[in-house]
Amino acid sequence: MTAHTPAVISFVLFAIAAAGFLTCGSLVRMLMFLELMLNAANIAFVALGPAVKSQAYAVLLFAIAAAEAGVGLALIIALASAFKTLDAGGIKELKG
Amino acid sequence: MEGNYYPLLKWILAAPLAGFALNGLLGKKLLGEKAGGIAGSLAIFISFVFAALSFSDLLNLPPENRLLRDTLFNWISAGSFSVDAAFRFDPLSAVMALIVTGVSFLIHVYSTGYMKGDAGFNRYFAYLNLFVFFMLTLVLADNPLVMFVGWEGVGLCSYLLIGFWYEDPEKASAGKKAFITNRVGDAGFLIGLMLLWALLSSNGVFSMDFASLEKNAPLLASATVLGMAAPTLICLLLFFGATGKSAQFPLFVWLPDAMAGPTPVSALIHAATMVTAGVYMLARLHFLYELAPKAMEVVLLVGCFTAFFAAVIGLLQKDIKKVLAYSTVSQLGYMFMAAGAGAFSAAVFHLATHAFFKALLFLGAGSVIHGMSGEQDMFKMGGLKKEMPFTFLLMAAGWLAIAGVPGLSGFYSKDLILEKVFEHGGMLVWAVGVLTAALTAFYTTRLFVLTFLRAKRAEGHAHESPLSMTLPMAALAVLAVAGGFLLKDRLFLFLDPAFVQPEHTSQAARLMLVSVAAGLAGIAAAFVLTLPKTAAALKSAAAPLHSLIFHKFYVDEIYAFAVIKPLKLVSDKVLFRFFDAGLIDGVLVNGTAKVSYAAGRALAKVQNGRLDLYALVFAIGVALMLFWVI
Repeated sequence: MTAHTPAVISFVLFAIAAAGFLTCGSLVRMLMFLELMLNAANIAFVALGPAVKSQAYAVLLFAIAAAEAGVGLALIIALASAFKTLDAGGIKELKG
Repeated sequence: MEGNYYPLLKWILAAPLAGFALNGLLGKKLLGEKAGGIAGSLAIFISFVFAALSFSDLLNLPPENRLLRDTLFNWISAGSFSVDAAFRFDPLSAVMALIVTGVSFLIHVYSTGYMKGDAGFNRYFAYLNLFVFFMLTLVLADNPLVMFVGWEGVGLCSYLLIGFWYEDPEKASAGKKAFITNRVGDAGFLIGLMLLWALLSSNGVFSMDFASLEKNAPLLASATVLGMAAPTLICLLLFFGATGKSAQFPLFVWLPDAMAGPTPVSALIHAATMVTAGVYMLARLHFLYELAPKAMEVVLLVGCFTAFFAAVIGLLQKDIKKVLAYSTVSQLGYMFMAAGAGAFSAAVFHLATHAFFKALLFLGAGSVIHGMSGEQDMFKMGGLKKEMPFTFLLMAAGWLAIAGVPGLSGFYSKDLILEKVFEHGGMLVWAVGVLTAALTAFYTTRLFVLTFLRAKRAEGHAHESPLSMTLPMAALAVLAVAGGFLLKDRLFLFLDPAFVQPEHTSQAARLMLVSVAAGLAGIAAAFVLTLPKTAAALKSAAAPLHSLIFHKFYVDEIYAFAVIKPLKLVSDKVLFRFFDAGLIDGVLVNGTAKVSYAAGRALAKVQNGRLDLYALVFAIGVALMLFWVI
């Protein structure tokens, strides 16, 4: 384990999460991948940033991620009850 | 120059302007017919009084320093180019101002009778006052730019008054014809002015007033433009403007149609004053023309041709006003002949006498038309001698004056012009001039005989015109009879202090004898040839010639075919359909809209509501931005 290992883990995790976000069709999964991307960013903060300051940001990010998960799940439940589906490709009301 | 400052001049101009404002703003409801007529006439009378006062002050100055000036304000100031709204009162403009205000006043008084009861009575007087204002601006201007303002202003008033009865489309279109034809000439005038300014300023002369132009004109003598001597080109362009305003060939076609306006307007604008503006302009810029002998020759020949051509057309016209209109064109030709022969004073002399007798003839014709309740065809008149005795007598004075009967005004001025033309213009031009004099005598006699003498041909009873119409005519008749004799030497001495009384040579006497004989022959011929029998015989004997002259040499038709039709075609097919509808509307205006619309349509496809696609595009965007940052 070298000094670069946390950064590499962070990048790889972000890439996997981004790829999953783009390829999976379900809204719930997309939300989970979003959480993963935030956690990847958190790892990068803790591993690479200056000691106290970036750790404070990491704690802030936990809070944001939790709030985001709450709002996101509420939206998904509302969408699911309105459209009877959880497939992102199936909801196309917002088009020009 | 400062010593000649004379603040009275502006009031000559202000009075008609005030009359215009009064009649134009208050109108029929607030001012009424009677007060409007009095105010309009009074305004011109005040103007005349101021002109006369200025004139008497001018006479008190020593002859070599007769100049009064009045500067209102600095009009244009752009870099070294500076023009004042300034007016000058010198012998030439004094003569013109007196003629304009004097004749205008008489015609205003006449109009109060002639236009009585017309729905547009106050509008009419407003226009007429405005016309006098612009004419005086033209005449009193101290530089060509102020003159141009007057020049355009009288054109506008002419248009308004020709189309005065605008409900009649034919009359309205006659107004448009006059305006557009004048515009063609004005373009030449304007280009000439710009050329003059450009050449003078390149020689370091920046003031445009007439005194400075006269002093600096010799600077141009050696300059050339487009391979032509500069003075020649400038003079020709200015003369082109004059052919428009003064109805000379080839731009004379508007004047006969201008007779659609009320008859006093024809008398004032289209006989006595406005149409002489071209002659006045030439006399005003005589120093420029004297530098350009070639241009003078053109002026002489155009004047000569127009005088003859219009007189021939006038021979067979039926409409009493059309005869007088062609006569005016022809007489203006005489004035240009005089100017072309270098006798500018003779031109102004004829301008003055012509203003008297032609205004008289027009007012007489108006009186006849008024008495016949609007009839203008001479072949339906006749025998009016008994029914309209005053008009008959007054018209006789005008007739004899224009026919060149010795002792009357037309004789003096026409004779002088022919003498000058003989000296400077050559034998042929003189011969055409004499022939024209005979034709002039012929057609005016024909007019007079058909209208007043011969047996009555129309039903109904003609009535004599009211005093408000006959009195102004009487005043003009006095001038038409005695004006020539009174003015002849005084005018020349006044216009040109260096003028030397010419000795009456035997040659001059012989020339005079020839032209008098020509005039009398014309009168005699008219008496014989207008007899119904001889007229019919002559008509059948020379049928093709008769129809050629009767149809005015088809000039209008030639213009319609050679100028108007191609112009309309180009306007419609090229300018309208190709440039306007095709390029501007199609490509520029609608094209822009179409491009935006098509772009919107294309971009709308991207916004398809698919979240995964948005996310992909977003990710690609982020990747590209990262790529660019790093």
